[in-house]
Amino acid sequence: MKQSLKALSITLAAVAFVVACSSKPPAAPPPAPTPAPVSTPTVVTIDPVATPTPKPTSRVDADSIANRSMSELSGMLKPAFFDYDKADIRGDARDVLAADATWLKKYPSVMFTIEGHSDERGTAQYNLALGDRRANAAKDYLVSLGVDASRIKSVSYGKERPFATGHDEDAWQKNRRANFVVTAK
Amino acid sequence: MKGVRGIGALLAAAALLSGAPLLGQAPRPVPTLSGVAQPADIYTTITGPTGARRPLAIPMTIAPLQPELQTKAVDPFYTTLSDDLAGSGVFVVADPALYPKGLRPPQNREEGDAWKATSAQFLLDTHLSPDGGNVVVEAMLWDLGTIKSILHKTYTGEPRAARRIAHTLASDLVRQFTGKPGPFLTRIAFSSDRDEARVKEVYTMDFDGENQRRITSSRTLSLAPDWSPDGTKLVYQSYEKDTPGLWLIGKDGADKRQIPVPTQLNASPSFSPDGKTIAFCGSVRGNTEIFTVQTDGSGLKRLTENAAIDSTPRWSPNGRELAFTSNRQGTPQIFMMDLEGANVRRVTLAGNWNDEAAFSPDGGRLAFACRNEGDFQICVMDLLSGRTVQISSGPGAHEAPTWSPDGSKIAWDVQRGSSTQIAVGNADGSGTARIVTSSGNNYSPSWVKTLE
Repeated sequence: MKQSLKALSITLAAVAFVVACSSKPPAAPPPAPTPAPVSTPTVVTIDPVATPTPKPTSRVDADSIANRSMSELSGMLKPAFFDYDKADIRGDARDVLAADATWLKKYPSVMFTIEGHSDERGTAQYNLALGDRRANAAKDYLVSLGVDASRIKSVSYGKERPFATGHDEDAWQKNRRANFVVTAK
Repeated sequence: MKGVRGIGALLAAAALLSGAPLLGQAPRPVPTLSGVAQPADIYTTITGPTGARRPLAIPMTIAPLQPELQTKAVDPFYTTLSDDLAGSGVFVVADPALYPKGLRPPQNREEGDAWKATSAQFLLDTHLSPDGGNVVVEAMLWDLGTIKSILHKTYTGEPRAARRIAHTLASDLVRQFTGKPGPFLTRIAFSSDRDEARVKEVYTMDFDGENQRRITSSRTLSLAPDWSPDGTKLVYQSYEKDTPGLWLIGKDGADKRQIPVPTQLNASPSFSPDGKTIAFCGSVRGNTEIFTVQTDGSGLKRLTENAAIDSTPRWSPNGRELAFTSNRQGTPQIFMMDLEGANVRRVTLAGNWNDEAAFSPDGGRLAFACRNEGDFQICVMDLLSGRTVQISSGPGAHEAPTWSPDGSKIAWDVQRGSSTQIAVGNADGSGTARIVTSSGNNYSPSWVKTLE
């Protein structure tokens, strides 16, 4: 499947090139064919035709950030969760943030925002302060693990933008979090 | 016209009155704005629990039988008038089902007694009639004990101003008995998510939920508005430039501008009583502190310096102190300090979470969101005695109280299930609070600070 797609892509690209060139006299030699593993430009060319087809990914792509959207990259960074009315980094959050830090240090070009959130139980205004504290606690922890502070912005949403809309401890725990939004790669 | 029957009495009453409030008009000490510890005389006058409320009959407004006039002017007028007076804390409205037929106005003691049998001591007789493109409302207040009219007023306006006429009359009636107009012509600002998912815009409305109007078009979070003391503009927190900032906007949505500050978060802005300074919750390196800044961004000053969370400052009416929330002693509690950040003292001692303080207009009382177990409720503390009463009840989180400019009412937001709406209740907890919004979810009310 992958092979045939690639072959189709190259064919389409060639056709496109021929069509594009047919109206003009050939002025310059065609660009050197790109090496096979770097298939990005070709894939982009056929994408509009083949939208329902999932994007082909390879081992090489999975390890690269160039082909991934900001939201995909954001999803690769796992959120840290907090206790009620607390902004301390818990044991489980330490492990999560350590993995995040490892990834972030691997891709030093990635810039990101840490969002601090709270559950719905405190007041709106206090929760904005609490969310600010959570975002900054996560930021400080990442910095302590060697992530450059200049890559990190933080913002608090308090209880304004909950992830889970329920009104029980399950939803509340999901909402007491610091999560990542990649803004540049 | 029936009103003619009482014209002699009216003239006599008018001569007697000559502009002075009739009842309780003996000069009372006006509560001063200068001391937190001033006993609030109005508190006991308006909202005292023991028989201060005047029983009042409000029969349906008399008007020509015209269906359009009825639906467009008479019904809104009468409903608004009844709601205002029933919720005023000054009157108790006698049950309309008991009202006698006719006898308006009562001409003798027997007819007066027929009205008094409904428990009323006063009768508010209103007539509405078209006059060109306008409507004219004639209102007479009768003392059923003396069978004398003690107030006679005429109001004119377009039919669509019927509610406003009713608010004006209700306000005049409250002033007749308390010496102070009622809050019925004032507006409340709040934030609402009705327009778009993940967006809150600042709105304003009449205190009873009518005439709602969107003020901001931020298409992001615009939160926690607070009125300038003169009621011409609002300060609020908005995420318009990615990082949340302090913004000012005119009450009609014009003249929006950001107050430049170097801090982060920039939540909970509060106007100083002189309108020159904003107190707010700013974050520096992940620690929220209380700051003040001039409305042009100059003169930034940090008032707290504490590793704990400090948030939600609110200016006292005398301009010399700020209430704020801090968890520096464990749970979030309300503290006060002066404008140098000195003389910090804890105000709330009971409960495991007290937050979002709001001073009464006379500075004598503090409303706040209070919680021990269960949901937040709205509490009011008398600052002189420390006596605290809970004025809200029922399930759901009750938060963000704000006082009406006359100190008689408090608005807050209440979450029931997945719906959050603005409620308006009496500051002494009497009567039933009314939910006045319904479109989307509505939060963080701020009541305008002047009575027009």
